[in-house]
Amino acid sequence: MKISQLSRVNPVERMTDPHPPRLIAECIAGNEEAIELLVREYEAGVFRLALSILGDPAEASEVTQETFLSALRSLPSYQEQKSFQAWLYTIVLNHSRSHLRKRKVIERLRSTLTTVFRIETQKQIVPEEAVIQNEKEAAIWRSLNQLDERLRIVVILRYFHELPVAEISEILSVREGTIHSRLHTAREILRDSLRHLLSAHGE
Amino acid sequence: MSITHEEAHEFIQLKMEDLLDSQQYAKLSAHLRGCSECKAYANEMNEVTNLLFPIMKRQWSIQPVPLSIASLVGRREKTRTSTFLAMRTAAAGVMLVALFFSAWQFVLSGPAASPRLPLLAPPVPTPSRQSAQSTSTIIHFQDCQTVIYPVQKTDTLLSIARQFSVSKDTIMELNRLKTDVVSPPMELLIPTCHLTPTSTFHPATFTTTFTPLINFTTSPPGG
Repeated sequence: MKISQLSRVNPVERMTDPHPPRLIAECIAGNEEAIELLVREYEAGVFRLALSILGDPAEASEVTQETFLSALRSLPSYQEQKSFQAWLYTIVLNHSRSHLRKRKVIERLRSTLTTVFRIETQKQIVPEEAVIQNEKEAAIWRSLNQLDERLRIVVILRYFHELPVAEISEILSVREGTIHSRLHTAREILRDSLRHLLSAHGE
Repeated sequence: MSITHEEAHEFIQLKMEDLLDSQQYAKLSAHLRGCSECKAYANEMNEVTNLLFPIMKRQWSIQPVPLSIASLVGRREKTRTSTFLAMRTAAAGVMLVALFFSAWQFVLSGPAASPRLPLLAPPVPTPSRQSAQSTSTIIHFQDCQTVIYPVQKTDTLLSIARQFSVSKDTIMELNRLKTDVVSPPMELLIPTCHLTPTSTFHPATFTTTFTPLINFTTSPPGG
């Protein structure tokens, strides 16, 4: 397979043509310029997705790195069954979930130390930088973070990453009808958290 | 034929995903005209979804540090940092084991034992957050295939070898070169391989402070 030096095309111009198959082929061949173009296009979205699941920017950075390593490695097997973004986001989710599982192990260790050995451990808490502007936002935010993981992820993909249901379905490999009903359930749970607020204040 | 409240709720949900057809939309509008309860439901749903994006945006709109492409394609960057990281990880691990041991010993020996003070070990050093650039990764190669690379004006055989992470000798051998002088319009056969990385695991950051089970008094042991 011949690599011709990627022509010095204005990178922005190149981006309007989503994934010329050549770009992917060049990446597979190890062409660093092609890899850089691909990475630069997607790294912000990948990072944001990881951050929205993990909440911690440092872990999200790690997941971003891991994602691109995995993606480059399995690029030859990307057969365009889903959109490239959906394929990539699936990888992000897999890595994020494994980080969450590792976290649970460490949490269990920590609580063992605390209860069995009565050694106090203090987790470094990442301060929430967002300014919650009012109590409604506080209620929704709390409720969002307490949602079941499957519900939470669809809410995030739909309302933060603003992906259509079809794409969410591709990323999660779940039927569109299921996505829709999860959104339905999640919205009602979030609404209930607001109701609590209203009833508390309504009296 | 009018719809029930339940159906109206379902239609309202469908509408949020633009999944209503015109017939359903018409039925919903008709229903909402006369039903304040369902109208309230629709408003609640809209309120929830309107609140979501601003909050999430505020929480998660951090710009990431751009990834180092070099680290992705296998060039080892800043070996010093990765060794340092590995050492700290090992030190943290050793500390944790020591901690377990001393804590266990202490629990077993009970209050009667003279206080040997092993427990006042310093807190486990907290590995600080590393940016993506200094994550160390070990790349293993497999699935090699040969590509044809057109030599550029500014290339030397060494720079090409480094670029593709192969040895100069490999290229010379494969292309039957007598010398290492290369120039355009030469085209070289380069064996390139796919990357199989194994990344290092970063322990979570937490600090441990020790509260001994028993308070040490200043009186001499046994006294």
